[in-house]
Amino acid sequence: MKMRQPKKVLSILFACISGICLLALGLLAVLQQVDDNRSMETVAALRTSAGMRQAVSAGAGSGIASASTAAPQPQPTPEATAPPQPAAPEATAAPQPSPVPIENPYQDSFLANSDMAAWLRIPGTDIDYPVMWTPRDEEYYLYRGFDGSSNRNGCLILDTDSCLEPLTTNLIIHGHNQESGAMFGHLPEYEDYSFYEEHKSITLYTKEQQRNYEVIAVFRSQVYKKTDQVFKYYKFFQADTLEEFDYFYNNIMDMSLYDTGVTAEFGDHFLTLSTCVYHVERGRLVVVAKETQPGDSYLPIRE
Amino acid sequence: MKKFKHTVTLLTAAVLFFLLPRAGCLRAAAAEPVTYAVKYIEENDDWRYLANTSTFDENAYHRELYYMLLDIKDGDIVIVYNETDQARTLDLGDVHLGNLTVAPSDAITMIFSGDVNECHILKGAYCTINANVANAHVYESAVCNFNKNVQELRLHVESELSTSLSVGCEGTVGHLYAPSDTLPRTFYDLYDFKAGKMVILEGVLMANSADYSSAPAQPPAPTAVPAPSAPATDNDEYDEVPKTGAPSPLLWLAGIAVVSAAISFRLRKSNESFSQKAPF
Repeated sequence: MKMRQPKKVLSILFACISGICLLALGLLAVLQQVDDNRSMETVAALRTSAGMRQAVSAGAGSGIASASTAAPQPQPTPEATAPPQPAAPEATAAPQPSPVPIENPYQDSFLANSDMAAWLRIPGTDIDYPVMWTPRDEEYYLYRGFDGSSNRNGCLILDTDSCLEPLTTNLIIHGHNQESGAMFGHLPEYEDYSFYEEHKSITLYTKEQQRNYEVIAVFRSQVYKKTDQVFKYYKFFQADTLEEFDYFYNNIMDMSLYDTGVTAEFGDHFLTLSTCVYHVERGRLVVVAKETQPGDSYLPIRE
Repeated sequence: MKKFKHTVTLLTAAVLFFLLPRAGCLRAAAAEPVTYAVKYIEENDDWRYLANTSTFDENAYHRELYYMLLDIKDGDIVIVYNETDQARTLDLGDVHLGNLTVAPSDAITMIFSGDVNECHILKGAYCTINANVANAHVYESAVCNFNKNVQELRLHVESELSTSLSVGCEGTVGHLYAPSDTLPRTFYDLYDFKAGKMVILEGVLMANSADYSSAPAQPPAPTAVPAPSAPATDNDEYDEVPKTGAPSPLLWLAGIAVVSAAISFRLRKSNESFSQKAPF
């Protein structure tokens, strides 16, 4: 009889713990879903706005730019001195940047939150998000949505040692590796060469222009101790000398999981995307892309 | 009666024990640091000072430096003004200053003192500091030479290193740090300059890479008897990089729920089998 009672009590106790855990599990799952939905709604609204502006720009051609009389327009190269042009590009060719500044498709987003530094897009993936830059507190948006409200997905954040104006050699963007695939949840897929082949290009829409990048290296790394004398990709922002450039370039090429065939030279600019992975403690998956031909330049953003 | 006396004696002793230490305790407090504004006055052809002020009002009653040197103590603050057009020497003795600030000047001011905790060389200042400095702050367009060692040398730069900024150090420099105050950019973040090698001329570092280190030196390995458990030190600190892992308590909760349910089920089963076996 003495043995029976404690067993019964323990059984009920464990059943209660199990029940509470299941209840908390359900509650958290619901809350996370609400969080996801809310952040997706905000981003979707911003995407829609950008899409509409892009559609209008595409429909009007250079009409929008020419309609704007406030900004001085650069003169196109005189045709008379231009070298002979090859045959007209086919309809499937990559769109050429507009010769004159056009309206920024992400104007509404920039106006909605002045902390937004750029918009990052990897065509063919879900990575299509605003990038926040808060020098006063780098991690302000790590667990906050675009509207500043608490959100476990957070936002993509531009490292505060990176700078768009003047442009530093390397821009580092950090984002959560979410199981749901949100933010940089799909970034680790770059470890697969076939994924890289289908998603080589990355676009960053800044206030001033569209910056195009091509993936040059994908590697795993980690956050090191302050005293560790090793290559730390997250410490490289500016290369003022060839030596500094080569140190970064040679290291990322050596660490790359595969050869992309893309090369870089002193003076090139990079975009580094970084997210957590778990091969080691404080592991990181890093995708480095090299800036290629500039895209459209944008008119100043006005209210 | 004897017991009563004994009790009274004990009570008196107890009262004295509690009261006397409080009544007789010495209240000592370190004197507050005094701020001295020191300026070379050409009319007097000497350095003059005002106490308890950071600005020098020539209309106020100012005194000879001699009296300040009698009063000055470790931790005091000195602000130096030299608006003359000739080089001047200011000897503050061996006092360990809490703060030494040098205001802009046209001619060089040579300052001698004991060690300095915080040294501010303001924009447009032109001076030499003959003292070991713990933390030196040099602002844009200052020209300054430290003739002894500097532990931490911080250059305050806006967006670009000014070509009118020149800083040298005859001693060693533990850490040279020059971040931009307006842009997220660091111009210099270098460590352990050899003696006399830290020279920034018109905004450009003239030292060879062999004369400094790009990372802080690792502290020497402990040679004493190893402690049973090493406390966390700076060596254990990781670089500050945003933590971008997805925090997921869901898996933990699910795991705990399953394990608890399994234990509960097992306990219940064993309880049932026990009650079936035991007829009483």
